Amino acid sequence: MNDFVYHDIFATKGIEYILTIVFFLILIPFWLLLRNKEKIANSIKRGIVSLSEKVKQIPMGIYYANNHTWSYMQKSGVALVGLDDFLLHLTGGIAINFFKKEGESLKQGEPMAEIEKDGKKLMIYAPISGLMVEANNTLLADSSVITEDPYEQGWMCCIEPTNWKAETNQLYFAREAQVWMQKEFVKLKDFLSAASLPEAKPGMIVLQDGGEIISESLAPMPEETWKGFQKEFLSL
Amino acid sequence: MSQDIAFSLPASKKNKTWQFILNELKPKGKIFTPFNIISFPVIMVGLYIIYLRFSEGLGAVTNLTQDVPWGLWISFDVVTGVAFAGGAYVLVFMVYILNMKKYYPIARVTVLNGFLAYFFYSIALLLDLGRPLHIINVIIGNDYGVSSVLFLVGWHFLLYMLALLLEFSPAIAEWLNAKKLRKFLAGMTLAAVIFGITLSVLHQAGIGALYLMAVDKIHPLWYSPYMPLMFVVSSVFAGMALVILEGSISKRVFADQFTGDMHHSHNDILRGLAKICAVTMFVYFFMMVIIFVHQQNFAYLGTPMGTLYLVEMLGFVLFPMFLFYYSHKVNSILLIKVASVITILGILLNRMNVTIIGFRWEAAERYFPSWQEFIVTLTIIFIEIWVFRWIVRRLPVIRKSPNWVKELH
Amino acid sequence: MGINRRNFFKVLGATGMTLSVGGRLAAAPEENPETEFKAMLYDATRCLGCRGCEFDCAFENDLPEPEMVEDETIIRRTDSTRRSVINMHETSIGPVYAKDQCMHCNDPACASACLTNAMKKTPEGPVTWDGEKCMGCRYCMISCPFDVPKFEYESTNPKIVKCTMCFHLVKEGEMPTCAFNCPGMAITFGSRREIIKEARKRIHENPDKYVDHIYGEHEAGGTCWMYLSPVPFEELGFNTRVKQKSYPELTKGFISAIAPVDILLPAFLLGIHEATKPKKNKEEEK
Repeated sequence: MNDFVYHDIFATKGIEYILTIVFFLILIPFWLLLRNKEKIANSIKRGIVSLSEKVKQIPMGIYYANNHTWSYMQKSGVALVGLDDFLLHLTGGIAINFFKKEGESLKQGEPMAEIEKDGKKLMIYAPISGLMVEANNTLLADSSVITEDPYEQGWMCCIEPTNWKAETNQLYFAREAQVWMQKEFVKLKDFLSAASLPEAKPGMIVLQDGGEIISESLAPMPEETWKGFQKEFLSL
Repeated sequence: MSQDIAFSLPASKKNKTWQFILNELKPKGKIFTPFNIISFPVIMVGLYIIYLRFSEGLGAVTNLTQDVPWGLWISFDVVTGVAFAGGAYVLVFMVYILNMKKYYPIARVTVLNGFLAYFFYSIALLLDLGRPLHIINVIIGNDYGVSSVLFLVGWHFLLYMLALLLEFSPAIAEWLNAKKLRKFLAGMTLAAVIFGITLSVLHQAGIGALYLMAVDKIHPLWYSPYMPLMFVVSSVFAGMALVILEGSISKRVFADQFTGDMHHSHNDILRGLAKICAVTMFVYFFMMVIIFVHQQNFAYLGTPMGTLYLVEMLGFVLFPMFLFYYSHKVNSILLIKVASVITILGILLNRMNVTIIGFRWEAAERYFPSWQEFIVTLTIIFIEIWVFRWIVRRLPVIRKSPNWVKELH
Repeated sequence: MGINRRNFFKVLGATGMTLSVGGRLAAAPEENPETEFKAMLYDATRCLGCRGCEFDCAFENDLPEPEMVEDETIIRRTDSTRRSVINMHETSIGPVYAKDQCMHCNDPACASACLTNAMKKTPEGPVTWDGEKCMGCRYCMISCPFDVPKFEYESTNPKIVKCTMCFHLVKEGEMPTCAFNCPGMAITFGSRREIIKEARKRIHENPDKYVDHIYGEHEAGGTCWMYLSPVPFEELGFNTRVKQKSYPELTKGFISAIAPVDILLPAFLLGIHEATKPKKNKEEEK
């Protein structure tokens, strides 16, 4: 140490303290980032599980009816009607038979079409009243479209509605639709677990809270189950 | 009929808040308890003395001299008080870092105690300063004296109080029924805990390091370059002993908040703490023996100071250590409480020996605190207990958290 | 990514701060009497005991006039009204006078202890006190090995009182007032190098007159007030147990340990926390 000029032995202390504070500030996000990788992976897993609860696409602007049909008003004034993928997820690929031909009028609640899988049938009632404009011919040609793209390409028919406002008032929309869909899912789990008791095959249905429901759960079920499903889920 | 109408009318939020505040401000519990009767006049006198301290200067109310500039307020309120508040960081370390869930029930009350201790002892420190308003210089940076140990201690105090407040804040959120706030605050607990433990270890050591330059002034039996380390170690069992004592008192005073199962687990906790105390005191004692040998202090044992040293070491460290160990053998809760009281007195004696009794022990003019200094010290402690009681009666500190807390987990 | 950008700016800011603060780190100094410490020498053999320096000091620094001393055998000490005192000591060779004031150490304990930098070692040599910064914590008094700083306990806005080597004169290139007027020429002022040379010269030329020790050459790591005495320094009331190295060095170990502990301990605690976490069940993962 110099005896004749001032030499501060703590000259670097200020810098050291600042560096310590910097360390703390960097440590927190650094640590969080490290752990977030796990967190992200976990939240993805959870998301997949919960995704099956919230049906994959709930596009906004669509009205849902109790029987899992959807209605959507196009700019042209003609509404599209189709089946939601909750239903389609359960049945798998189906064939559609329309009861109404183009130009015929429909009333809300009237049988509109019938879907069929392996001889088992489900009745679809019209969600809105109006004039049948067109049935989706691409469905007749390629039935896989409806399951792959139920809200866009897989529309069932076009209807020119006669009482759009009043009728859609009673239908589910946006947030309401999400809530309703979640409730339907819970109802479905109950229904399926009750239905599968006599002939439970392990691995076919994974039913625990937060568990995944394998698609086309309804397909292998017997006719009675389909009839019960019709009553529970497809009545307006 | 009118009642139904009253319920159906929406109460304005402002009214609700005002009612809540009024309700919380009402005293809960008896007003004329023995403690209140004693402490209230003391507090009144103490506040008057504090006024005198500011209107007439430190010399008017203290016995401080040019040779002994730090008296009872620093030595008891700051140095000893901080040692006792060590319970907060040790307990938080055990619960959140070592995951010893057994001690979770007392974590919150210990953190609250720690926060109040640091808060009020900082106020005591402000009272002792000659120009207290200039403390802002240390905070805003009108020239940071980074070479100073006191600078470090001061800043760590400030930051540690923030960390403790953060650790305690979920309880405040539960009191205000703010669910989202509580979740947010609870997420920061780990960071606050780690930050707090680091700060605590460093400033417990810092309190000891404050006296490192006073090598000529403190009696060799107590001065050593290891003072910082010894202060940290002793703060561990000082804190634990105070937690034991405080828990025993709270159990009686706030008996209405202790549910049946808590009684049983509380005794379990006391037993665990007693074991920790026993081990730590054993380690501390041996470190002191090593330091004694290292400094070659044998010659001092014959002197009066030497006798005091032996009394402190044997009577107030070794003896309670044996009591803790023995209480474990015979499973006596009473013995644990007795041992913790002796330990507390021992820590007090140790800190007094370093800072007052052993400080300038050969000066012609010995320092002894004035009665005003005693009263003010008591005032601060009593006010702290009053605030503690106020908080414990209203917030979920001892009693369990509200039910909605489980939902969040 | 948001986090990275934030961190980048933090590090940038820290670097900027470091560069600006680190700029004041001095390079190795060269020998230059103009920039070195000034120091003072008190020669006990020359002091007449007139106490003129006490009066000059009081006059120069706006302090109350010292009272007349009735009994010279009473040892007076500096206090909040007098920065320097002359005491008569009965020694083996008869009465010898000794001046008592701040030693202006090279590495002052008080300046190292002061957390607001109110006590500061100036480059010129004197250790000064700044009332604007002082908060009256009295930590300087605890740390000073010579018990120099005195506190105005009787005041509501207390000062720390001690000799400032008339810094307001020294920085103008003038001499402190006690050296200026001493009739016996007992007090000498110059650069520390010159003072030590002068002191050594006096001892060398008059080995019987002086004890062969310059008090302050190494005491407390060297001071800027040095003493020559005809008798052993204990007889003049000097503290000879004071350490021969700088007092702030005693805290260096602790202060150096702070930054490493502040960095290692959180990392260690994080590690233990992770290690003691109970293994999470995949099902009940939250």
